Amino acid sequence: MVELLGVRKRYGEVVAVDGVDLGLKEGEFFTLLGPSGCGKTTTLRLVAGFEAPDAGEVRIGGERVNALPPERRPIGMVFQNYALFPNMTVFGNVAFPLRLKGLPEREVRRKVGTLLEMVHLVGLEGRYPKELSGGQQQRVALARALAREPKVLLLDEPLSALDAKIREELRGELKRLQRETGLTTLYVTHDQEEALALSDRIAVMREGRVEHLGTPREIYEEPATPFVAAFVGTGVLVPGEAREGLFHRDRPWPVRVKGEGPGFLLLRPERLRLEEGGFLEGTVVLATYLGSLVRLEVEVGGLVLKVDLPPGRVPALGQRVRLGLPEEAPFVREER
Amino acid sequence: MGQRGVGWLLALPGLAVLGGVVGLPLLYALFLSLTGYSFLRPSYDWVGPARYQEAFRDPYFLHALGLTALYVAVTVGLTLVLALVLAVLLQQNLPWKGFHYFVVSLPMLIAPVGVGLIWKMILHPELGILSYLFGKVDFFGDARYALFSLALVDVWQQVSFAALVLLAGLRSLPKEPLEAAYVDGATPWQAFLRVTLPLLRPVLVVLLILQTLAEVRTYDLVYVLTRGGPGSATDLVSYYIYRKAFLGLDLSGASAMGYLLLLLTLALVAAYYRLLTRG
Repeated sequence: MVELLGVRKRYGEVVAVDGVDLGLKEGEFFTLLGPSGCGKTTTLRLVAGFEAPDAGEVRIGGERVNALPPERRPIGMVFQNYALFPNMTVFGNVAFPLRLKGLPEREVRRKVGTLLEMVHLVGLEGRYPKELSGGQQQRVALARALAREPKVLLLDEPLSALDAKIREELRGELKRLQRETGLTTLYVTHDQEEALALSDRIAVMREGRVEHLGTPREIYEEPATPFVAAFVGTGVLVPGEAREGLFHRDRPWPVRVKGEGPGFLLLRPERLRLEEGGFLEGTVVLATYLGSLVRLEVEVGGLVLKVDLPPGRVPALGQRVRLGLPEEAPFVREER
Repeated sequence: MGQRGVGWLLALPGLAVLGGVVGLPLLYALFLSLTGYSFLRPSYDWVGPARYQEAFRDPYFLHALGLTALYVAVTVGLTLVLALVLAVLLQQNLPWKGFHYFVVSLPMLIAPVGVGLIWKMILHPELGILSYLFGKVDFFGDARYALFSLALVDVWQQVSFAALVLLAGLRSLPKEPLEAAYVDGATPWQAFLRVTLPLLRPVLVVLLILQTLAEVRTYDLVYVLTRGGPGSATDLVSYYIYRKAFLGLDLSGASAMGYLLLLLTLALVAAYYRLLTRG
């Protein structure tokens, strides 16, 4: 449905997007994930038509759209700061694209009613954006983006301006809406939890390039590079070597890994456990209470490993503990 | 001393100066307007509201008020429209941007009397370049053209300030609503009319207030270019009040008219303010 073929974009000396190739399948929820300045928003803006690529092709529905302005692309878009029209009511905002299309007023009213029902805003038609909460404003923005019945929905960090509780609530609704409408969705975020929860596939970006493209499970469990391993989820990268199927540091560790040569063993906190007779011995240096669990930091021979424990049986700071390793763990290599 | 007390103490010098240079003359003019004071009969005989009643019966004053209303409508309207066009053009990525800014700012940098003299030469019926190019037209000497010629000179000077204010306003607008309008299918013209202009409304209203106040007080251009003539074709109210005070020597009558003008202007500003705060 959306294809980017060797797309490049630079601003003066800065290369924002550096030869990106992507393909979104019809009905897919696709996320561009990465830190600030990695090129994810520029990529989205290239699809929207706010920026023109210096090289490469952008295709929507098989059609090359490089030269098409945003108003002629079959897209809907939700912005980080909602971008509602402050001079229009909720009704006016959602009706805006429909009125531009020249639909009769009766049809406009019917469609706006359906859309507001879909985003649970019935009864607020007459309010102005400043009279709404952040979450309600974002729902209006979503309804407006859907009003044109676009082929592709673009979302630019739509939840990042909201507080945690509303963010989680809206995340669920976004997923439900996308499932219901079956709309191809391109989502931009720097929040890895959001990306993992929502996406069918994720492209992790770094310095204008796609570092890893895969399903949330692949990205989390088999990260392609140390950057992806460190950016997605929590974990510690232990430098060492893969040899004959085992990880070697100063000695062979009882952890099966794929590949050969130097690289990093990724140890996630939920995969480590406190265990009498565990392979590693270390000292507890920090315990952080996170509600449903306690995250322990244990210093082991110059490394600080993180271990998640259920709250209750937490060793004291400075206590010597032994850590059991997972039988198998991701092994990532430096090259991209 | 509490925080409030310190605040008043710090504001006191400024308030004293303001009271001295604005408050006292205003009070003195109010007092004069209730007396029969003139330069020929300098006595403060109390006459109450009689000078105000006379002003309402003065056909020349009423003519000047009507003329000023027309003048303000034409100059403010034209200034805002032209300034908006210029601001939108300046906002585009045109080459030689600095040069364009300089040219647009120029009229603002010239004193009104200077502007008057420059245009007096340009529009001179015998020596002016316009008469040379388009045939002899007595721009300021013919009652049919005088007011509009005066208005055009005024607009030429005012438009640069207004354009720069609007440009600053355009630059400060959030980008996203405009982009959202494009994604929603709006053409640039539709997006300008339905998104940019409404977002720009606070700036436009402030500019409307400033321009109206400036145009109501127009005096210098009239003095330099027409002296209110031919006949009373350009006898704007500020110039008429000046004449009443310093040529007619009727200081109390001029003060009463000045106060009436002040009240009218305040009413206009209040109406604009309602426009600004509505919605």
